[in-house]
Amino acid sequence: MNIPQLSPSSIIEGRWNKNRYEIKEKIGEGGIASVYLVEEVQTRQQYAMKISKDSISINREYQLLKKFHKVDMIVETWGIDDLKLNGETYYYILLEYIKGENLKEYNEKNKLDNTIIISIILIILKGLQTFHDEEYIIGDLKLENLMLDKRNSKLKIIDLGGVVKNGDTIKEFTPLYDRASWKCGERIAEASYDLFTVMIVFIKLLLKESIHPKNQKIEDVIEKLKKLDLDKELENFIIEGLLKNKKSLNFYIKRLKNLYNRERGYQLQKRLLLKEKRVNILLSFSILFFITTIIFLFLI
Amino acid sequence: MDNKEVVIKQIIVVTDGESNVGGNPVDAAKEAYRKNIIVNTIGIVDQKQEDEKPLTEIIDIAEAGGGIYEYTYIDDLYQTMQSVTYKTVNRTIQEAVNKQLKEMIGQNLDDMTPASRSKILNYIDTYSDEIAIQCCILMDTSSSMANKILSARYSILDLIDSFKNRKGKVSTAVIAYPGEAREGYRLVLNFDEDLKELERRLYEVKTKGTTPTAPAIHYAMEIIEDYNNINHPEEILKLEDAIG
Repeated sequence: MNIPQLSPSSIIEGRWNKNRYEIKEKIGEGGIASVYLVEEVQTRQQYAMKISKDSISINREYQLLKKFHKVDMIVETWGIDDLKLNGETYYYILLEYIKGENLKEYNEKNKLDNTIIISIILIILKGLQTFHDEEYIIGDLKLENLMLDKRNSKLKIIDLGGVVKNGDTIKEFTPLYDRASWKCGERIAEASYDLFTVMIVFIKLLLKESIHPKNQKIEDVIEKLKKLDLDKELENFIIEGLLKNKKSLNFYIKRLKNLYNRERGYQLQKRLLLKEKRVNILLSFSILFFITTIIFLFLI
Repeated sequence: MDNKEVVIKQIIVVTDGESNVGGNPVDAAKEAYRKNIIVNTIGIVDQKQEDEKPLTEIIDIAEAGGGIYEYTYIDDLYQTMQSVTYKTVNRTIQEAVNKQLKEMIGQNLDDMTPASRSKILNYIDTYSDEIAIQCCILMDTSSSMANKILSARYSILDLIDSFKNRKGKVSTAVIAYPGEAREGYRLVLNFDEDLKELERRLYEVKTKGTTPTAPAIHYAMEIIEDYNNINHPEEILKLEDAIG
């Protein structure tokens, strides 16, 4: 079931559309697919090409990408075709190439402040909403699947391989984000399954240390979260999303919006307070200086 | 359409070593495949020893058994068992569809353009969640598994838990090999037994001894056939269902 290694600067050709692409480099690899940066020979246009031996999953992903192409978070798709490699048939979809880092890499290198983290989560939740409205569940959401498109300053979901219809079984999952691995629910496609993955994304962004269901219980993670000394409301928001996520996504979005405004309020207040402090210090120094000058003058 | 008639039968061999007693497991897998039972293999590799010689035997067994093989770390076993099952189901349906397409129009799915095969693939995708599965897990419990048995136990329970959410029926049996004393295998759970028994019985399984893969595969075949003789007459997947 493995995809053969394609070496840079080799040329591959779409079986039906006869388009020719030059392989640039491998940019990703998952359980059932490899992703290469390719350049169309004729147009010099760059794409990300997702190649797999699994025609069902490629077909499914292509259709989902088309269906949701209007959603801001979804990458543009440019076609589907087959490849013949060493006599075997492989299947591929051509995707918009996004220059940038995925959230996991970005989070490891940068210190994100809470307002930015909250706004990232808000963007994700809104993206999820459009899927849920159409009765689809994302399933395998994780930091690695979220790309920061720096050129357009957007957040994109780059893998829809785990998307299933509401009510179906979750077929692709990552233990860290999977509520069944944490013993917090079943592996069944419903809105609350996605909400749990979002809460883990949230926690991963706030908490820099590594967590994993084989080493910890969800209660341990909550303990760690509490030590962060977050806004109490925000803390409760996350814990509820993890444990008793029975409310609609809309409810969580509204609530998080409020929390976002609050957090921004805090930050502003903090900044104002800091400014005030600075002014006060300056003032007291000038008064002190004034008095010492006066005393000095008197002494002479 | 009556999905209850069609059953996909699979054996999943989970092992961390090569078979060393009791005959050739490749031959056993071949025999199973002839009886319409697919044999998949999962090789557990060690995270620390990267230069360990790969378990090439599992490739041969899977090939002979018409199945797929996968390498995994013990911690990821539960995920791998799932994906192997899903892939098997999809592949089996796809092969059945291909066979009938070939008979009807002399083409198979790969001969069609992506756009024209799309509808059939959609169907297979939906259908795969509804089709009945009969799954026999063969768990290696030889002495080398000693420090992995906890995770293995967990993986089996997790897989069965996950099956509960499928639309199609799943019957599961679990065989540990080697068994007690000199037996080549030990039946932990048979198809029609209560799943509640499983957890307790899994805890009774001890790791020791050799790796008699072939006798275990033979025994799996036996209990799958026994179960089918009582419960399900054979039925072949019809393409009219797929495109109808």
